[in-house]
Amino acid sequence: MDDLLADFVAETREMLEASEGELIAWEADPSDQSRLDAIFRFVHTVKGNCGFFDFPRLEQLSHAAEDVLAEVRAGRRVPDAELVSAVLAVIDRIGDMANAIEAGQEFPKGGDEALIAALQENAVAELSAMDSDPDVQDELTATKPDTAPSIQRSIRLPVDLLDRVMSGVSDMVLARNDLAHRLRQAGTQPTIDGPFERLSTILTDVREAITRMRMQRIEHLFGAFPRLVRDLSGELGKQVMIDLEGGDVELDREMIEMIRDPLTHIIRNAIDHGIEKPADRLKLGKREIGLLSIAARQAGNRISIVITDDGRGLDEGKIAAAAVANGLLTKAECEALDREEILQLVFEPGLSTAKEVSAISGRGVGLDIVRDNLEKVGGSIKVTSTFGEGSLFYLQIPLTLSIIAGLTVEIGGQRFAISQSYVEEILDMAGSDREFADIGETAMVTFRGERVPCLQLGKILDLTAELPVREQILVMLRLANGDIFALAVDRIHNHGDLVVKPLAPAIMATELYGGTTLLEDGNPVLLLDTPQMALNAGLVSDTRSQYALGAEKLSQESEDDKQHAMLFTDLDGRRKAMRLELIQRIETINSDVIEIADGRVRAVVDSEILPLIGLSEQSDPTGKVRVLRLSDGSSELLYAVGRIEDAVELQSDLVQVEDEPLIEAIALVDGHSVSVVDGHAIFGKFGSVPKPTRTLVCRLPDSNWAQTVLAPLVKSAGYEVTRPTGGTADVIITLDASEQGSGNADGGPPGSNQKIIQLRSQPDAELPEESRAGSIYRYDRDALLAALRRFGKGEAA
Amino acid sequence: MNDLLLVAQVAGRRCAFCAISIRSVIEIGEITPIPGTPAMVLGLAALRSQTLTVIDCRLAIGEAAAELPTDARAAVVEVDGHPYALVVDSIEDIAETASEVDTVLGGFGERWARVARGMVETTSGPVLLLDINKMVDSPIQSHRAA
Repeated sequence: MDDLLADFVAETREMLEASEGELIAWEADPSDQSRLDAIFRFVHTVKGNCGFFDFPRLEQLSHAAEDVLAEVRAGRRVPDAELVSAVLAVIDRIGDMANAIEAGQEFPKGGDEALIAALQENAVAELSAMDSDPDVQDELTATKPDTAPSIQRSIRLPVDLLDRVMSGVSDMVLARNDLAHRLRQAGTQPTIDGPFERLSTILTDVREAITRMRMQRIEHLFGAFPRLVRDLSGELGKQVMIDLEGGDVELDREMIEMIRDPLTHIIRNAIDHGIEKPADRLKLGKREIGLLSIAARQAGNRISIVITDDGRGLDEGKIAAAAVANGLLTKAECEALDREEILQLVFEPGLSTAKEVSAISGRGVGLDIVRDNLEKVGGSIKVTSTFGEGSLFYLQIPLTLSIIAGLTVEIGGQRFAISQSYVEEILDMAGSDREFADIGETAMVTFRGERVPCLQLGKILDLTAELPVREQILVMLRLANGDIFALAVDRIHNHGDLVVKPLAPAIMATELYGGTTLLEDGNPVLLLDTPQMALNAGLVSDTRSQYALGAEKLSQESEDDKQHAMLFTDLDGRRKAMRLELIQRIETINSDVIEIADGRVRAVVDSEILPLIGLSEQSDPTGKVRVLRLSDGSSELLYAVGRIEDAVELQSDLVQVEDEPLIEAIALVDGHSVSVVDGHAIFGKFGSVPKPTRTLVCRLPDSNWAQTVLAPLVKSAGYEVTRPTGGTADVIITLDASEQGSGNADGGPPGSNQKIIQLRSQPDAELPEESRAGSIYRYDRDALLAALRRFGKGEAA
Repeated sequence: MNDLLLVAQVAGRRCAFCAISIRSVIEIGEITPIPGTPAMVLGLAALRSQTLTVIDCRLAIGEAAAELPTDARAAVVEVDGHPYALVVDSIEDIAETASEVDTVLGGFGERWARVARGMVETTSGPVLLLDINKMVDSPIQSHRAA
């Protein structure tokens, strides 16, 4: 059978199954508009497909049904039991016909007319006549056994059966690991090792296939969003365009269900509160149509979903005020938070900045539940936003619920596992002079300029640690709300994928463990429930304490003074440091992508040509070169290094240097002096500014002042300056309104694509406010540059 | 009605479990202790690729286990989908019931009454039939009460 035809049949049957429930519900309540819509869509799709495949009978049937349903939808006909029965009869017939098509059989003739006639108004008699007509009945029933599908391309399975298979395979993997361990102990046995290897490979394949069976493309979830957005924006009188990306990312179907509500909620919020009405958007200089984009990406074992809108963004002032008004925080606590921290308050229960309660997204409930639900499955959510320009929600969720990346740690001779997703960093206390203080019962450790609480796993579990605290290893764990705490352990072992199994209730009752897993040697190990531990320790008991910790940022260690840098040895063997903020990535490039021309060195990375600096003058690079990829936000460059050491904290007492242009200062790191590379200087010297697609031409007024004073400024903004008369120009600058007329007379009327900047000689202070608008004081450098840049951007885009 | 029972010594008494609910009797290997759990939860043990929660029946009942002999074998049961290994003094044999489950006058004593289903006559004498669900449940209750 033709593939297309098979698809058609499969689709029809799929929709038939899906709409079966709708049909029943519609029958119970024929006035239910949404059910009606679903059934209408079904017959409509069938009709369209039939035309394509040339099935006149199917088309006729679905067309008739569609007509009637359209009448009902338009309110011209009241659905009654007879009508519903007639539609159901037609849909049954469509299903039977689809079966016949799949089996490659001819569907018995006749009967269609009676069904179609039954759809017409006052057709009661016909339908009941048909019901009692033995021929038609026989025909319908007789076709059924014959049309048993001969080709079955897909089957439907209950999810718990899949789960059982999945857990069976997980067990097999563990049993395999156990066997592998025993075989290793027994030494090499060629007769067993070979088949065992094969078994192992097969098992890996099977496991992958089973995992995929549970996977679903996130498209299934995304599919409903365009409709949701359309309906919502229509209801609210807004225009919103949705952009979906990464629909082919696959994740556990259970996970898809878990994130359905949170995503829907965020979308509703974005449309209701975020995106402005078209008229308001135009006033703000935005496009009339708001843009909502949702992008999914897979990164290792996690999926990240980013939802952005270009609406009004979050107002941190309002959020802070609401938090204070609702008693989440005191005013002083609020003031100690930075903007990012305030924005995260939207996830706190009982906080809403919405001025009005609307039907779409309620008030005060929502985002806290969104966060709770995501955290329940090991996910997290963050928000960033620029007021007036839009907001961005960043969700992270694990791929599946049962396999997690874990880290094995040891305390008091016993091993435990920690979910890798919480681990921020691992610090070795031994040999470090990290500040550590016992504040009462709580230990605090300084991490990235903040004092964070340090829990001792030994104390929590009542095990005797083998090492004193100062020689232990700190696992820095980040909680879903962004707070960090340290967990002190004796040792760190390997990490890997863990198949997590549930624990007996008696063990769960301890609130210490989240599950158990078997190590490769076959011994069980417990997965620590770190968020719960933090909760038990009172680290996240309420908002107050968690933000109070954030406010504990030491004043003398504010961001200005605590700076982080990457320590490296350059190709001349000098130790240098590069500010971490500049470093985008560390890359290894082949020397053959390096080009040296005109004394400038460039290299190709990710099909981009970037300037490369830091190469030693004497030596030609050979083999592989490690480079730091630096970015100043708009342009990028590469910095070749010899060896990369570590990220360090720069002390506040940097010694400025004068004689070396590319070195910002000398810093002391572990008693050695290190040159800190001057990011400003290297980007100033080597960074390439992204060029607009073509140089814009600007016409200046005909005056000495314009040619001598204004022209250099305009040129520096990236414009080409043209003669005062003749030629075409993209932007025209006029000085004082009187000159505008002469400018036009000389150069012809300004075209529709020309933009005019009007300058005037009077400073702002000498003019009444209303006559200032539309022109710029000629020495208002900032306003002038801004205007030039705005036009330049518009043209480049 | 002749049901099969697994007869075991628990805290010096002859007791029995319904043989139907016993999945197997295994040699317990290494037990991974679980810090923070009640004493009757001895820890986790691996059975093939499964993880068993090991429960000491004597401690679950409330008797002291220290001076009692302990069988290296344990009975594996499953309650609410979780597999458990029940540790007792010694596992004796399989016996057939010879009577209905009955209570005795004066009761079994408070601690035993909680986990007992009743007295049963077997081919090898009377035994106390223990309730497996209560046995693995009890740690939670005592933990919550504590």
